[in-house]
Amino acid sequence: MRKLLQSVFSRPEMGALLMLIALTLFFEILPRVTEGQAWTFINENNLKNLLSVLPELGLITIGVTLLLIVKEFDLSVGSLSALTPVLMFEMMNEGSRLLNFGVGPWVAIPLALAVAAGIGYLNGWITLKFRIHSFVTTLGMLFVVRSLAVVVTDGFPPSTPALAPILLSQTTVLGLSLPLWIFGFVALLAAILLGKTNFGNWMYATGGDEGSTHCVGVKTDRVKLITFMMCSVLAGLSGILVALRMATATPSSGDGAELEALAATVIGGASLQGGIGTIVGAIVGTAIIRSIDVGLIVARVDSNWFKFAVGALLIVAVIFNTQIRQWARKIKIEVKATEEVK
Amino acid sequence: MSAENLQRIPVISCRGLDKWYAGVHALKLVDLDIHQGEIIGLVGDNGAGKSTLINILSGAHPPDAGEIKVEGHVVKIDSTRKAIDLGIETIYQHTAMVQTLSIARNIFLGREIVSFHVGGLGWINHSKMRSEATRALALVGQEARSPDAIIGELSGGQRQGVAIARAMYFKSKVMILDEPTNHLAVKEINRVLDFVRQLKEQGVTVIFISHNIYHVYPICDRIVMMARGAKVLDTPKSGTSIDDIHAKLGA
Repeated sequence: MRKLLQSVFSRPEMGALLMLIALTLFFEILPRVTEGQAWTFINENNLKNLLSVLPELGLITIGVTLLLIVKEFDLSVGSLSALTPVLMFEMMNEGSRLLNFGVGPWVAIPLALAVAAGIGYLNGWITLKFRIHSFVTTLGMLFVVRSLAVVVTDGFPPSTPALAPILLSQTTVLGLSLPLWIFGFVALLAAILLGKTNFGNWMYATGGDEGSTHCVGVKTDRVKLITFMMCSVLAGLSGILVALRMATATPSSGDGAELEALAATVIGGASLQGGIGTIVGAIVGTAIIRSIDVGLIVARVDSNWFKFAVGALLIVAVIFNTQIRQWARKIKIEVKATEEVK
Repeated sequence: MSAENLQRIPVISCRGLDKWYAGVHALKLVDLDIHQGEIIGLVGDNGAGKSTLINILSGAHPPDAGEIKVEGHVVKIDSTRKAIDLGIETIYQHTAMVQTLSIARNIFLGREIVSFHVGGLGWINHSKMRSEATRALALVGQEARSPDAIIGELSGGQRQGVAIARAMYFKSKVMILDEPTNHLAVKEINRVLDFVRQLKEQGVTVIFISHNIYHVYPICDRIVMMARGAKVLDTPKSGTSIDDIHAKLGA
């Protein structure tokens, strides 16, 4: 029993899961206090709202979590989530600055994502080749990519191509929106990659101890480079989903998303020291941030408190996660002591 | 090649190994022959060139000059992977283990057991990897330990044990132990020395590096001493005494 408790509570996403439950209960009770009536937070409508906004931040958070597992940062994800759909729309429009003939969406989407992958490669290559901190590389790229998104469009959103699969975001399959299915699929792939493949083992090992991992013959630079690219592609995909939902690609879209995603990642239990983090954690972290959003609206609290709540929760989450892990370790030591007595 | 010949050809033979690091002559034309099943005690003060020699043999850094033969064949050890493939396994002072990973994941890191693979991406067979990890632990008498235990929660001696188990499991020919007894309690040191004796019983060649002659002397067959980048002593243990070596180390 203790062993089960220990293994459950030493999982990195456990703290976040407990916090999500606490937060849900809090938002269930808060409206009764502020409004004096039974506004409920837990209902179908709110859940639908939550699920509809989950995939966009969620995809970026999964990318940032993967990258944090290999002990690297990416601050350029927000800018990239603006550039990718902008490029996609530009490519589809006839007589645009990029192409003077328009291409179909199923050509434009892969091409735009390939550009995102290229920027991820550049992030990784610069970081690894010159041995500088990815914080610096990607901070630089945050500005560079944002600027490109504005320059490409001249500052105005490109006109929405007639062929854009706008309906994609409204299509539902088995009652769930298509973006949610895409998110679920990506999350599943990422979880399998981390938990079930040799590459996942190398990712955790590279983040946990790069020197030791390199010593046993794993090409740690290659592992990191591929992860940089995965992160960028996910950011681009997120941007495309936003653009299709809004039916427009704004060059200023995704501003600050890099920090929200990093907050969700850390709340989800990933360690800034690398080597620790899970996809479930990334999803729960995203759900927590989005619940605050929805919860404050339901409770009719001034939405300007949103950033306050996210910030405070981030700090509390990290303290909570650290404490819960220490506590879990203590259970283990007690078990050992009793075993040795036998 | 007959077994007898194999006995006579050194497992590792170095000739004229030379290395400069940022203007420092770290290794000066070192010759060294290591025979199968030997335990070599490599001693010397900090900066004597022990680590440089080990870095070359483990593929971490290439030598500037010199030749290395493994079982009589000239080899170029240009990566850590190459060294491992040649059967030379190095356990660094900080044990070359990832603290945040389980024993099973560490033992098979870079050599994961996969059910199938697509290109370089393999599907890990976790249950097989766990049972094989237990088999590896049994080689150092640690079969009772859970293969899911996180390395960071083990003691220093236990970690050395896992590292040695890994090398034994993969049938390394030569094991290089870099200061395996450093920062360990007395009980833990004895545990590590026992592991090394087990290695010898299985015919594994060991290079045991330490600046503490009292840890090396009881288990080694031969003492190699280095000072200022050069080999200054290379003698069977029978030809010397612990006081003798101690005096030379202090000189």
